[in-house]
Amino acid sequence: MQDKNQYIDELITRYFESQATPSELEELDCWLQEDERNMRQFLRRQNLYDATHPAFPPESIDTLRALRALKTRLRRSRRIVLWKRAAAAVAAIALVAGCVWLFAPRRHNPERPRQLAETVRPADTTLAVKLTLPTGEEIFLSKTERRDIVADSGTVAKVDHSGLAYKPQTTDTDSVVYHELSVPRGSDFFLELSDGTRLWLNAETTVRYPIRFARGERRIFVDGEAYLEVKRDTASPFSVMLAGSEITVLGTSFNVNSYPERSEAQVTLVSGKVNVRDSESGKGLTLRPGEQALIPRAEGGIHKRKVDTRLYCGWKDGVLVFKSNTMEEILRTLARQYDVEIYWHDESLKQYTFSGELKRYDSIDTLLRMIEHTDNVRFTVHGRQVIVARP
Amino acid sequence: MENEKELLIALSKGDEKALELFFTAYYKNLLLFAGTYIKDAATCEDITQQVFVNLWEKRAAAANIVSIRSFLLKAVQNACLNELRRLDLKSKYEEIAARHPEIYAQETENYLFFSELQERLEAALRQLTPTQRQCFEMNRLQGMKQKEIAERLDIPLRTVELRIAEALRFLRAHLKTYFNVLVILLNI
Repeated sequence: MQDKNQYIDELITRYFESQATPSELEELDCWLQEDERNMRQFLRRQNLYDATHPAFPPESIDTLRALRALKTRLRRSRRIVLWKRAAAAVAAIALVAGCVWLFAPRRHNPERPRQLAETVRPADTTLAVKLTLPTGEEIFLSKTERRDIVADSGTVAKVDHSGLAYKPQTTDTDSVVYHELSVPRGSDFFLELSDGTRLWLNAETTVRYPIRFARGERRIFVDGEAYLEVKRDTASPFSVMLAGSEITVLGTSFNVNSYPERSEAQVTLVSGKVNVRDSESGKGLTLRPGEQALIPRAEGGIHKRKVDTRLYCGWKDGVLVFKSNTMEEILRTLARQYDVEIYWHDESLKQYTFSGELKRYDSIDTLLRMIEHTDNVRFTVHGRQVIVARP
Repeated sequence: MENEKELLIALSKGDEKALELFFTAYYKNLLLFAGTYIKDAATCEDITQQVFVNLWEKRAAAANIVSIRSFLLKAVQNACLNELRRLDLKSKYEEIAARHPEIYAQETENYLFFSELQERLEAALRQLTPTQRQCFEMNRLQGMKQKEIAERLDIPLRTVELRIAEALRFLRAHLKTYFNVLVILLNI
């Protein structure tokens, strides 16, 4: 028996190593059919063989690095380009756990919304999208937890996986109540206002808006970067107050950018028509699609130019388009969107330029590797720090 | 994991730390497990991480998971099989899985992770006497010749030979089927 076992073991090993002859394979197959226990023995052998013949070296697996990648992914899992694969995995997990989820607490469970606020620990609040109510109360929003936002008049908005959406306004209102939404570094968020206007908010952006608009005027405040699709309403012009300038529109799509490191605020028009006015100098101009208004901070004034709008609006669709941008600009963008810090080993690298189109992949590593391929720079990632050096 | 139940409850309440603990404990093993289906490391990394992303997104139900180990194993296995199907590749396990689904499922649950195998071997090595183990490890792990060991420890060559032989005999009897694995791992 011992000999027979040993012989079978050898046979199985030869099979795993693809060295078994056709007659040996047949023999193995017969043995497998003989008894269920043989099948178990075979699978256990396979387990041992697999465990001792790893597909990749176990010591090369860097769990901490993977953990960092996971954290990035948790924050921007919606951006996964490999969505097909993600969908497959979701289906798989649903299969495994179908019966488990069935008994899971449902979302109408009244405990849930309160739990959300409690489970966001202080360390995390800097990473969460924050909604500030007129009372000063702060609510941390998460796309994975649905919840209702309640004002004195009842539910005014809902949060779900797509973002924060205010209920359409049904009655006119006299008193204007403002909410303020802040998107932190390393994140972005979608907001739909009560008039149906849609905003894509980039990282480090704060927007203040009425939960219901007063008749005849729609006015919001943006600090940072946002892409807007304004719902057309000729009776109520829509205006955006952006770092000392006012943009008045009817119905249109455009991008506004007032990030502090820029020496000028930018308004980029994709479709429709907008009027941009610098409130300091009182100067204004009208933009047509494909045009960009630049409002310099220091001297005041305003001018416009023709641009490729994809360069300025691609971020909203998860595409980062660069055209001879300096490494400094590019890495500042990445730092903000992935919440990392950049350390320049060599300051002269800041002036390198890079052109290309990058998808906002689920990990910053992928993006950096792509830039490395095409340019004379080398990135080293330590936790949330990216060191830029010469190769 | 000892406090698995508490961790699962913490996870279901949105404690990201709990997810991180599970990830740190299982990632390497799960990645190697994925590697038994798909040989591309990047794809395996993607699949394994996605399983944890999914776990996080459906964390509300995590408290109902009976064994996180079995849950993760199955989730990774399913994701790998789906990926193979997507790529229109056949899994080497497909036939067995189709012929004996219950056995296949049970054996997956019993799958011995890489680290668990290492632990078993380590446990066996710990049962050797200190002197046996010293000679065995110097010889098999550090690759020293028996004569060198004798000189280093200032003991007769015959004693070194005896201790190594005793160690091997004990391991063979104690590990039984795993002995073959030890042979492979240690290049005996």
